[in-house]
Amino acid sequence: MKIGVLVKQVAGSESPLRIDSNEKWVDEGSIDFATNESDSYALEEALQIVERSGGEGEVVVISMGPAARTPKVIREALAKGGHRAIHIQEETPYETDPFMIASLFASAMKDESFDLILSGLQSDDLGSGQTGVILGELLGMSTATLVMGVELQDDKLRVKRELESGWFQWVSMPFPACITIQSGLNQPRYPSLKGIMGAKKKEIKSIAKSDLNVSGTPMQELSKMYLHKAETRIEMIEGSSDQIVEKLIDIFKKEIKAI
Amino acid sequence: MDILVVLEGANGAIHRNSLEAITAAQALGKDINQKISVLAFGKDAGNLAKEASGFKVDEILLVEDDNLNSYSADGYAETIKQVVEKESPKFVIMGYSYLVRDFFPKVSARLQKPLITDVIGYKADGGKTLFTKQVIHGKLTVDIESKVDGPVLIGFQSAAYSADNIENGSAEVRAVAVTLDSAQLKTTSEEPFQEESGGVDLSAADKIVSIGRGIGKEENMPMVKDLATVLKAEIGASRPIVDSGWLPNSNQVGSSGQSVTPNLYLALGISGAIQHVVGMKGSKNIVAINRDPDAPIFEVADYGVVGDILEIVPKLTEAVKNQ
Amino acid sequence: MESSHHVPVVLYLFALIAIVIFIYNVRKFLAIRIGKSDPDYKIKIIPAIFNLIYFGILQRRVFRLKFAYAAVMHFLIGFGFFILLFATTVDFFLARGWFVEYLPNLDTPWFAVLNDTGGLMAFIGIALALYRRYFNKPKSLPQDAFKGRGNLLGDTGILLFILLLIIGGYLSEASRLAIDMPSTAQYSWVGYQISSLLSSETWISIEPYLWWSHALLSFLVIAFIPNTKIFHTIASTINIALTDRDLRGKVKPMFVSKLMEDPDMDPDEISLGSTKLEDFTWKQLLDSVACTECGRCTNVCPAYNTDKPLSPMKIITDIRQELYAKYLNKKDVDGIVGNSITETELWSCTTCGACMEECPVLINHIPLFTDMRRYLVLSEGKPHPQAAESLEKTMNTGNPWGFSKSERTKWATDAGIELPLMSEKKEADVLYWVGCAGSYDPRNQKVAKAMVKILEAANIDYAVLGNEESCTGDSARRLGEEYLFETMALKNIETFNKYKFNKIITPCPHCFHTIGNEYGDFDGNYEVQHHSQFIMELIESGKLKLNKNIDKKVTYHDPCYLGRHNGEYEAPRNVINSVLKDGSLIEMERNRKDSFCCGAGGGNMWYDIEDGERINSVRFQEAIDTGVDVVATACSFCTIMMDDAMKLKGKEDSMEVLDIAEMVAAAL
Repeated sequence: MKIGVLVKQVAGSESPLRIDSNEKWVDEGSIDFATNESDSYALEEALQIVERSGGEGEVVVISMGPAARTPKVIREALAKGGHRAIHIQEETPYETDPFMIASLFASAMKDESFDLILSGLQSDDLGSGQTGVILGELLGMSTATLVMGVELQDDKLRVKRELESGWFQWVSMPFPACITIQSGLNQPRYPSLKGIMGAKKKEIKSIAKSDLNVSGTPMQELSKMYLHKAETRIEMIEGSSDQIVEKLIDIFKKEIKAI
Repeated sequence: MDILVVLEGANGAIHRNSLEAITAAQALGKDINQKISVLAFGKDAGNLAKEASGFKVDEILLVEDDNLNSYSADGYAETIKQVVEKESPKFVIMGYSYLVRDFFPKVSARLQKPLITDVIGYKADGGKTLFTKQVIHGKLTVDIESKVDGPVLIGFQSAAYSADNIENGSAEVRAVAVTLDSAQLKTTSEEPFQEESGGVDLSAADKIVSIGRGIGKEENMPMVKDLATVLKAEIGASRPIVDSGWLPNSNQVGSSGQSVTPNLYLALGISGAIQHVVGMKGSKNIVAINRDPDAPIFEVADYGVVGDILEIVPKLTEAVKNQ
Repeated sequence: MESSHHVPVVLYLFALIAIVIFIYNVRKFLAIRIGKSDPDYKIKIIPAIFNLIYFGILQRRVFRLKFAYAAVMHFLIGFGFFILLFATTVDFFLARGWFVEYLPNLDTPWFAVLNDTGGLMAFIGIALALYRRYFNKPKSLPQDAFKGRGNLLGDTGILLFILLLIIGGYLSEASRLAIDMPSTAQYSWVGYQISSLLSSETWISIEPYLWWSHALLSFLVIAFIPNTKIFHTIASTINIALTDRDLRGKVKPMFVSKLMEDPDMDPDEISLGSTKLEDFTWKQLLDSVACTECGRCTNVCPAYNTDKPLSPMKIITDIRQELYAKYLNKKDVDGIVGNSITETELWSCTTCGACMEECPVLINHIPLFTDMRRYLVLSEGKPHPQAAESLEKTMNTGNPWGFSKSERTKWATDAGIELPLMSEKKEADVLYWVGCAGSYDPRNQKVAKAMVKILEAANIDYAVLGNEESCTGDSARRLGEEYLFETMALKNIETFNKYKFNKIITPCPHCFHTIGNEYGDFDGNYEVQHHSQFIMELIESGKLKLNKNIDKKVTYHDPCYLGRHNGEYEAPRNVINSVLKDGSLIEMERNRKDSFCCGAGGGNMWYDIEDGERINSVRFQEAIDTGVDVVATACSFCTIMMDDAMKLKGKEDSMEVLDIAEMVAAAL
C-alpha cells in the first residue's frame, strides 16, 4: 500500500507574531517553527497503518515550503518512519488559495498513484481545512474529513468521522482515498536517534514550485492581515494575586451573583 | 441569483449553524442589497423547507432525491454544484459545521470557485465584499477577497452570528431537480451514534470551572477541582485535557464536546482556540485567567486576568470558602 | 599450635577438590566479559589499594548511623569472619608444619581469645541478621528485597548453614580442648565452657565426627561460596578495588555528532543506549555481580519511598540474573528493557544519587539507568509521553516549557531592568547564566531579579547571554535524549566561546553541574560557580554588606545536584546564616548527604509517575514536621517543587519557600 502524508511547517503556538510591513503575512524572524499538530497525527496514523499491515507499504511525506526551513519537518517525519519525501520548494510570498495549494500538491503527487493520502484536518496557520479534500477531488479519490478512526477492509476503507458534541459517524469509502485526520486519534511517536540516523539516507526529492505544471491563478487572496482588538467589552483585572482574588470575589458576588 | 444559503438538517430541523448562516445572509443581503434564496435537500428536505419558509428570505429551493436520503459527501457536493450551476448565485453560504467541512470543499473543487471558511464577518467595500477570518492559532485576523467572477463560497464559523437575531417572514418553495448517479457516490455512511453514555450534562450547569492546557501537569488538577467544589460548579475542559485522559470526554466543552451557556464560565489556562470558544461563547459571564495577554480567550471574555493560575486558583478557593 | 591428632593428608585432597569446585563456580565472574570495553577506564593502583582498604576491609560505607543495627550486625559477622579466616588459614598450614618459620607463633593466649571471640562475634552477628529478617522486619527496609535473588540456599538458608558451621567449629574446638588440654585452654573461652559440658570420654568418641563434619562442611561452603549470598565477600571486594571513584556518577558522552558524520555508520549495527548485556560495559556488569543485596539503595530511594515501582536494587540484580541466565544457563535473552525492567521503573528515577551515596560496594547506579533510558529514547523513540512534549519544545524553542526564544529576557524588560548583554559588552568578569527557569517560570523570575540586585549591589562586572542563552540540555541528558543534549551543549559552547569571561555563575545546580562537569567532554571548559558559592565569596570579601534581618525559623533543603552530586553543603548554609537574626538554621533530619530529593530531577519535572504520594509532598511534610517558617532552597527546580508542595499542603499562609538569593537580596 502506498500512502502519502502531507506535512506542513507552521509557526509554533508560543511564537510572538509580528505582522510584516506588507500587512499580508507575519515577520518570520522571531518565529519558532514546528510541525502542524494535526499533521503529526496524520503521519502517525499512516505509520500505524503500515505496521498493522505487517510492515507492507510505503509512507511518502510531502511538504511545501521554503528551502531553508522546511527540510526540518520533513526529516523529522522521515526519522519517525517515513520512507521518502517530496519537497515542493516555495519561497515568499506563500500561496494562500486552498485550490492553488491543492493543485500544486496534485501536480507533484499524481504520478505516484497513491492508494491513500492522509493530511491534517487543517493547518494551525491558515486553517482553511480544504487542501486535503480538494486534493482528493483533483486526483479522483474518495474523500472524508475529521477522521478519528481508520479501519482497513479488503477493498475499501472505513473511517470514523467526528461530528459535534460527542457524535460520530462511520463512512465507507473505496480506494484510492484521501482523508484528513483530526487530532487525538493516536499518540504520535517521538523521533528516535536511530530513526534520525536512518533518515539521512532517505530520499528527499525537491521540486521548485515554478516547475510544477499548474495553470490558472489564485481564486482568493489575502487582502490584509491585522491584529484585531475586540470591541473591548472585557474588563481586565490587575494587581497582585491577592488583589486579583479580592476583586474576583467581589465580581462573583456583586456582578455575576455566583456566590 | 444573489445569495444562496444552503441548509443542513439535524434531527429533522434546521441545524443551528444553518440558522446562523441565514442570519448572516440576512445581514449581508441588507448591506449589499442582495436577495436571499435558501436551498433545502437531503432526508428531511421537506421539513427544512417548511421551517425556512417562516424566515425573512426571498425563496426556497427544494431538492428531493432518494440518493440523498443518507449522507454521502459526493451526493451532497454534487447536488449543491448542480443547483449553483443552474441558478448562478453570487454567494453560496453555509454554516460551517463538522459535516459541512466534509463536502463544501468538494463543491469548491468541482465548480472551481473559491471557498472561504471559518468566516466571522464581512466588509462590504464598494464593489467588492471582503470576508474576515482568524488565522495563526487564532491570534491574527485577515480579510480575504475573491479574485474571480462567479460565485464565492462562504463557510460561516459556528456562533459567529447568533440565530437569536434571525428575522421572520415568509417565502415560497419551489422544486428543483438534480441528476444524481448512485455509481458516482463513492462514500456511504452509517447512522450517527454517540460515543459515551452518561457523564455529566454541562449544558444545564449554572456554573462551570473549565480547565485548559495552562494547568500544566495532571497533578495540578486537584486544585481546580477544589475550586469547582467550593463554587458548587461543574468541571469543563478543553480538548487537550480530555485527549490526555485527565478528564473523560463528557467534560469536554467545545465543538467536539458540549455547548454550554452557564451564568458563570471560569476559563482557567484556556487559550481560546475557536473549537473551544464555540462551545461556551453563549455563557452569560465569562471570566478568563491566562498567562498570555494575547490569548484569544480575552476576545470573548467579560473579565480577564493575565496571571498564573497555579498561584491564583488556590487563593481564590480559600477566599470563596471564607465567604 | 599443637595438634594432638594427625591431620590426614586426605583432608588436603578434599581441600583441593573444594578449591577446584570453587574455581568452577567462580567462573561466573568471566560472564562480565560479555560487556563492552570501557575506554575511559584506567587501572589506578594507589586509589585501588586505598579503596580496597577503606571501603572493602574497613567497610566504611557499611557503618552509617542511619543503619546502626545493620552496621553492628555486619561488623560482627565481617570482622568475626576475618578473625576466623586468619586463624583457620594459619592453622591450615601449621597443621602440616608448612611455612612454620614464616607464620607467627599462635600458641598463645591472645590468639586463643581472639579466635573464640571472632567466632562468637560471627555467631551473634548472624543471630542478629536472622532476627532482623524474621522478627524485626523494619518497615523502612524493602520487604521483598529480603527474599534474595536466586542465591543457593536462599538468603536465610546460608545464614543457618554458617551458623551450623560455627556451632560445629566450637564443638570441634571443645573436643580438642577436652582431649588435648593445652595450656591456653581457658583462653579459648567459649570452647572451654562447652568442653566442660561433656566428659572427656564422650568428647573422645565424637571428636573425629565433629572434626570431619566441620572440615567437610567448611569445604562445602568454600566450594559453593560463589553460588550463595556470601559471594559478595569476593565479588564486592574486587569491585571496590576496581572502581574508579573519579568516574562515579559520570554519564558518558556518546559523541553523536561524530557518529552522524561517519559515512559508514549503519543505524542497525550501532548500539544506542543499553538493553542487551553486550551493551553494558564489563564494569557495569561487574557492579551487578557485586551487589550484596543489602537494600540500602532502595531504602533511601525517594521513588521507592513514595510507592513508585522503582527499586534500584531490583534493577541491579535483574541485570545480574540476565547475565547468569545467558552466560551460565545459555538462555537466549532479549534486551532487558521492556522485559524484566519496565519503562515505568526507569522513568521513576529522579537521578538524586542517594543510592550511589549509600552503596557499600560502590555501584554506579545513575549512569546505568541513563544508559537504559538512552535505549528507550534513542533506539526505540519511546520517551515518557509527557516528557516527549518537553523534549520537542526544547528542540524547537530552546527551553522545555516551549516559550519563545525571542522572549527569554522578557522577565527583565517587563520589570524595567536593563541587563548588560554579552553581545554588546563582548567581555565581562562574570557571565550570569539565568537558566530556563529563571527566564520563563514566574516563580523563578523573582530569583533572577534578586540575583541582578545582588550583582548590582556588589558592583560586579557581569553580563548575560540574553536571547543567545539556550537550555543546557540537562533534562534531555537525564532523560536519555543524548542527541538533543549534545545539540544543546555544542550550541551553548559555541556561544560561550564567542566571549571572554572569567567565570560563569548560575543559581541552578542542574545548569551548574551540566556546564561545569559535563561540557568539558565537548571541549567546553569553563569555571562555573553556583550562586551560593559566589555569594559567599562576596560576603567574605566584604563586597556585600548584609543586614541580619530574618527573624524566623529557617531550614535548608539540600538540592541533589549541588549536594550529593557536587559536594557543596556548606556555602548555602553560610549564606543563610549571614542573614539570620540570631542562631542558625534548623536542620531537617535528612540533610546534606542524606537529603531527600524534591522529586524534579532526572527529567521528572516534565512528567508525572502516578503511583503513590508526590515526592515533593513527602519532603515538604518533613519541613513542616521540623517546625520551621521558611524553607530555603538553592535550586530552580526545588523552588518550584517546594512551592507546589506548600500549596498542596495548604501552608502558603504560614510558611514560605525562598531561594537564598531572594533572602540575600532582601537583606541588602
